[in-house]
Amino acid sequence: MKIRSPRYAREIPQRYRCEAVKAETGEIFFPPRVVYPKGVKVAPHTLAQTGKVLSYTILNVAPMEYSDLTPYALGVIELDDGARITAQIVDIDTAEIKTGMPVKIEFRKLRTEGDEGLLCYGYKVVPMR
Amino acid sequence: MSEVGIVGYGAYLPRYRIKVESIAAVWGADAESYKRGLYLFEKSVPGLDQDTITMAVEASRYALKRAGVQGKQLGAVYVGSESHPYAVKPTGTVLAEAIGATPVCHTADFEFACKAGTEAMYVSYAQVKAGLIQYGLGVGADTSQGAPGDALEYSASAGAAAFVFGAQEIVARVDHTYSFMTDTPDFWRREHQFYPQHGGRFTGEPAYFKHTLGAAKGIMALAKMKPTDFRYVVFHQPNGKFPMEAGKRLGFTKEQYETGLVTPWLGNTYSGASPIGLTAILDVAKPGDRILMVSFGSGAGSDAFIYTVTDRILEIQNQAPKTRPQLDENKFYLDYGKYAKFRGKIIRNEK
Repeated sequence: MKIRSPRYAREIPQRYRCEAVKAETGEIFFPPRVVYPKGVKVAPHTLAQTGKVLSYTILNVAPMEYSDLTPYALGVIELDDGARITAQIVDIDTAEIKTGMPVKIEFRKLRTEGDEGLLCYGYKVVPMR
Repeated sequence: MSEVGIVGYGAYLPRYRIKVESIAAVWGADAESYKRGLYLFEKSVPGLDQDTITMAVEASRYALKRAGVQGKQLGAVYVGSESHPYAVKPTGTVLAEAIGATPVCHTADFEFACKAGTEAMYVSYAQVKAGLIQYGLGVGADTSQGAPGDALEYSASAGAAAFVFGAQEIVARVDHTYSFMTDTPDFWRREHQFYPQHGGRFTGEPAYFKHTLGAAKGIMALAKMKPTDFRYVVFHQPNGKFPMEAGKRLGFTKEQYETGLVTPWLGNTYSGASPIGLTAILDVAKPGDRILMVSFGSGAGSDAFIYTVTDRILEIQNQAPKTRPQLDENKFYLDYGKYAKFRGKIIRNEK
């Protein structure tokens, strides 16, 4: 088992709390970058927790770690603050998903590293009802 | 001494359900006898990507939203469960990190069968009361397991409830607390065993009723109150029958216990049981209402609380999803095969 703890820990602020940065121009960077173009000033920003489905695809044949979840939907979500994220769309029959559908962020288990490894958590989206 | 109480609350229930009939059909059991005998109709099931941690996070976010409190204002985060996802690694650190309470925060995981949730609440309350912290979070969450075919399989379910305790802008003041416990071997699970063992009928009189009634009578004597002094009562609810029986024996009416009785359609959420019942009450409570809460955990003991609802309740009830709609709406029913897959009951080689 490859130990992935350092990478997992590094991503916690984004995966758990959607921590981003916003430039004075209004542009949102998620995840925040290490360096920004010259002159761009950024301030901490938490991503909006609601948005809509811009586009999505249904996965019937998934990578090994996600094979129990098939069929599942992976969407591009435009959040209410304009930021776009890629997230699984869950708690819905994949046949019912539509573009433009309002969704909200929920905290879920993203991945399990086999029987011995880490349980990896982060955001997914669910339909607003 | 300053007044301390609940300043925000939230419950999270997964959307999946399985009916008693679907379980009984697999094991050749009589569904009607479970429905009638235990007053149990269906139960919640966590999704494949849900566990005690994910539900605790969602319930806590709702509680913080209602409280108008930021995660970083919490001095303590306590979570009680008998299904902490890791054997070694705290649930509380993931929860605290997800709600932004880290790094200056005291965190601990509690375990006491179904009573761990009210322990987390009690310790949060006590810390605020002692003046050590400004706000504390107490959570009860479980994805409980029943052995295939065992009576517990009909009830063991999933859900979470979270409460922020503080001394300002209280919505339900804590008037009294009381705990009652003995060493009673009614239910246990040894290390490396998949499913718990229980003492069958021994879980009733010498365990549930002795402690639940003992704590209820004790706190009412302490407070010099009687059942008619309360608008609502909520007990631990391992099935639908026990809490109704406890209520009747103590002299409470159906009107007092039905609002907080969620198990018939939710199942036994273990550490979340009486806490989720309390959230269902707070969703509809009015200023001045007095509430008696009595938990129960096998092993065995009960924690009791008396709350008085304040005017502020009306301002926060609609700030986050309520409990009954989560229970009644947008449900996905599973057949036993899918339920077995969701709960990891199908044996496979590791991938």
